[in-house]
Order: sequence, then structure tokens, then C-alpha cells
Amino acid sequence: MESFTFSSKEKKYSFILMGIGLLLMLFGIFTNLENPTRIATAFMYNNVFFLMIALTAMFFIAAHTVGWGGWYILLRRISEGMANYIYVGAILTIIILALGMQSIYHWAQPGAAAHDPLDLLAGKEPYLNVSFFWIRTIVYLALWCGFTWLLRKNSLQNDLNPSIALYEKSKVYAAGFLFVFAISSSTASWDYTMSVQPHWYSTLWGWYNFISAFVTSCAFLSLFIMYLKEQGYLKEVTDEHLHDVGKFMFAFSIAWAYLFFSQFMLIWYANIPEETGYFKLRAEYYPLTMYITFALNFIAPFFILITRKAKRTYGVMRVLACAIIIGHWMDFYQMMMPAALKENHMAPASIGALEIGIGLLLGGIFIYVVFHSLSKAALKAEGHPFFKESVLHHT
Amino acid sequence: MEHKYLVGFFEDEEPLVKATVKMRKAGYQMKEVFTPFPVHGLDEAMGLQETRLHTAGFVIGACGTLTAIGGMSFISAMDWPIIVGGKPFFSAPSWVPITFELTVLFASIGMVVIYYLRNRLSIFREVEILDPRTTDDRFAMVFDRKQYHTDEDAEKMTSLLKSYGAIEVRPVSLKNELHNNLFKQHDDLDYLEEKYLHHH
Repeated sequence: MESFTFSSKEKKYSFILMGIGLLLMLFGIFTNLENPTRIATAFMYNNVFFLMIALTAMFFIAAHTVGWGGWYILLRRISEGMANYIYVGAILTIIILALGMQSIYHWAQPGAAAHDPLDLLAGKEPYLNVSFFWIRTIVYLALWCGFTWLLRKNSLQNDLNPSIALYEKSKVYAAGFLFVFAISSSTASWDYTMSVQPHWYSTLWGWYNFISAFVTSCAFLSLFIMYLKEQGYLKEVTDEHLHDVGKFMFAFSIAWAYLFFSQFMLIWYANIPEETGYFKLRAEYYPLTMYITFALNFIAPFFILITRKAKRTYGVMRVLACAIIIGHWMDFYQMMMPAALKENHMAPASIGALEIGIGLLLGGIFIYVVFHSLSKAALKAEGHPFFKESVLHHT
Repeated sequence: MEHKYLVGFFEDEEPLVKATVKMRKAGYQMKEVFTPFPVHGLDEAMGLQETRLHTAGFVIGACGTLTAIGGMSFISAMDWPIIVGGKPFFSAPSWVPITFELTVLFASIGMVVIYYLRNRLSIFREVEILDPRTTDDRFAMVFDRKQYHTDEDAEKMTSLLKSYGAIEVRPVSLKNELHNNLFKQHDDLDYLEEKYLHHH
């Protein structure tokens, strides 16, 4: 049984990452004290970004479990480690919302609906009100954490006493999670990222958020695979497995571009003021963020990851995985920050020490959580009935 | 003219893949392997070169992209400009869906045509089947007697194939020559041995 030791060197590096993040974050907070919206939104979008990555890692496991997938079993413990960040993300979500909800969400301020010049917020009040928002948040977080705990427990039990009964049970849990996630990934995206701009809505927003997070989750997965392989772990994981993860990165980068463009073209073509507000704001004040996002999230993965060889070359995969992570991090930035600043009557700002600092801090915590969970269990889920299929996997 | 081949028949895919590597290790490169269904890893074990079909697909797809953009910009911006929805004549975003469709259309049809041409599949051509059982439940590994022409080679290959699990080895003559696969010039046989013989 192979097990992973979380070496002191790795611990040191993840603490250094968190430390740099913390310093940048404190610097950012002190230079933006007059702008609580920016501080709170920076925390919220980074938190949603990493929480969604953890959730889509969970989705990766659940979708493969329900779909009788066998090839991913060798990678399963890494995905489980990523999913374990959900607990941290849940706590952070509650803290950030408790402290900064009114700074981020314009509609949550007292009297926002009554003084709305467009008179739209009053109509949305049955859904967009503070108490229902909190109820939804608690329900999402409880369900997400619950299913993560159940699937992880099932997987660890299966290590000790491999049995088909446990495998059948895991399919029930996975199906339950998928049902919950299908609904909650959409509604949570409306709540956390779309309601920042409460007068505007997009019907494919939930998918757009989900795919953005899923492709980032696959990028993180590929980075962890390559790191562990280079440290001498996971001998059975071959280029075939990395190739399949690369296919996910490639395919979902295209899916992201598809949704991005669908949203853009319909708004551009119809040219209705209440819809174009979304792109006008970003094209006017944040054009660079938009172009870089599009280049990193679609152009680069499409033209570079298209060949078979690129998906099997560590150097290429590593660079592309980093590009995708940075690109989607910027995408979450441009989903929330421009709108939050505008709705709260603040001047447009660009990505600075504050955002990068919080990103590094949460990224460091994320990496720490993954390595910590990897070290707590066997590195390979050898009791799983499809384990051999994963070892023999050939694309 | 007759073309002579030595064919080893196998009953299962696992001994087939192993025997493929072992035969190559022994110095005999098979010309072709016929299987009733796709076998994972067989292409790598045989030492086949990666297919160039996707490169062709990319190039043809790019032709489709250019056709769409060129056609639409000529028609709606130069030859017959009409204002639609208050948009400029040259309005790229509205062309993206059609550009995408033509790219996919060109790439998919082009790849099918090239696939048929390359494999010489045609309704006008009579197909000569090596052994009808390869479409049902048998796997056939084919060696070219032109390449290994001595009787000594034939005897050696027969005994090797039998010892690697072939249930039947016999010479086959065909009217048409089997078309040439592209094989890798340099293949790491030790790696394949490690991967397919020891690992599995």
C-alpha cells in the first residue's frame, strides 16, 4: 500500500505561499481601507473560485462513479483531497458573508429595493432578500459538506474492507450529489456571482460558472498528478491518464468559450440597454482583463492542447494548466469585481496586491489541504472494484 | 500475381497484444493485424506511426474557416452591402456561428473522404477478405513472406507464434497486396515489453 508523506519541505513551501499572500493581502487591505467593497469582493470572488474548484473536483468523482468510469480510480485520492477543501470554503463563505455581505451585494443594503430607480429590485425581493439568501447559503454548504463527507468516508471504508456493497452505496451518494449539485451550482452562481449586478441576468450563468470552475479543477488535478509523479509516487499513473485529464482541459476550454460567446453574441445582437450593461462596463473599464481572459482560457488551450503529444508532455501541460488557472481566476474577478464596484458607486480598479494576495493565500491553503488529505489515507484506492481497470487504462 | 503471407490466428486480445510485442522483440515485424473490434494498445504494440488524419482534419477545417470568413466578408461587406439590425457591414461576431459550422463541415467531410481514400475503401472495389473469421471472433496477425522469404524464417515464425498462444498458423495467398502501414522508424521495444508484458 503506497502512502504519501507530507514532507516538511512541502509544508514549508505552502506556508511560504500563504505568507506571501498574507503580506500582499494586508498591504492591499491597508491601501484600500476607504473601499470596503473592493476588499470584501476580493475575498468573496477568491473564495467562490476555490470553493467551486473543490466542488467540481467532487463532481469529477461523482460523475465518474455514476457513469461506471474506471480509468480515474488512480487519481481519485487527489480529487478527494481537492474536494476536502469544501469544508474550509464553507467556513470562509460564512465568515465573508457575515462581515461583508452589504459591501458586496447592493441589493442586501437596507432600503435598496425601495430606492431602486428602475424599480426592479422590489420584484426580485421574494428571492433576493437577506434572510432567504442566508437560508440558501446554509442549505448549499450543509449539502455539499455532507455529500463530500459521505463519499470520502465510503471510499476510506472501502480501503479497509473492499466490498461491492460499499461500491453500490457510493453510486447512490454520487447520484445524490449530482442531483443536488445540478441545481445548487446554478442557484449558487446566481446568488454569489450574478446577484452582484442585480438588475442584470443571464440564463446560462450557472453553466458558465460551473465550466469555468471545472476546467480549473482539471488543471489543478493535472498539476498534482505531475508533481506526485515527479516525486516518485503513483508509478501506475501513466501518460494515458494525464492525456485524459488533458482532454478534459481541452474540451472544457472550448465549452467555456462556447458559453462565453453565446452570452456575448446574443447580448451584442439584441442590443438592449439593460443587457448590454454587462459588457459595456467591462469593455469600457476592464478591456485588458477581458482580452487576457479570453486568450488564456480559449486561444492558448485550443491551439496548444489540440495535439496528442502536447497532452502527454509535462512541460506543456504544466504551462497550460497554470495559464488556465490564472485565466479563470481573472474570469471570476471580472464576473464580480467590476459590477460590485459600480453598484456601490466606487471607481473602477484593476487587479492589484489585494486580489493577488488573497488568491495566493487561499491557493496556499488549498494546496495544504490537498496534501494533508493525501497523507491521511492510502494514495491509491486499491479496494475499488475498478482499480485494475485504471491500472490497465489505455486511451 | 499472388501475394504470400503467413498468418497466425489468436482467440483472445490479451495473448494477441503480448504476442505482438514478443514477435517484434524476436525480430519479426508484422505487416498487419486484423481484429473483430478495436483493441486498446495494439497500435502502440505494433509500432504503428501516429495517424496523420487529425492533421489533415485541422488543415481542411482551417480551409473551411477561411472559406466562411472570406465568403461572408465578400458578400456582405463588398459585393452587396445591406444594413442588418444597425450593425456594421463587416460585423465579425455575427459570423462566428457560420464560420464554426463551415469549419466543422469541412473538417468532418474532408476527414471521411481522406479516410476512405487512404484505406482504399470504395463501393466500386471488390474486397478480398483474409479470413472471414476475423470479422467474428478471431484475431489474425499477418507477416509478409516477401519480407521474410526463407523457409527457415517461416518455420521459426510458425513455432514462435504457436508458443505465444496462436491457435493456428498457416500461409495465405491474396490476389491484392495488403496496403502498407506506416511504422515507427525507431521504437523502444524495452519500454513496450515493460508496459505490455510485465505490467499487465
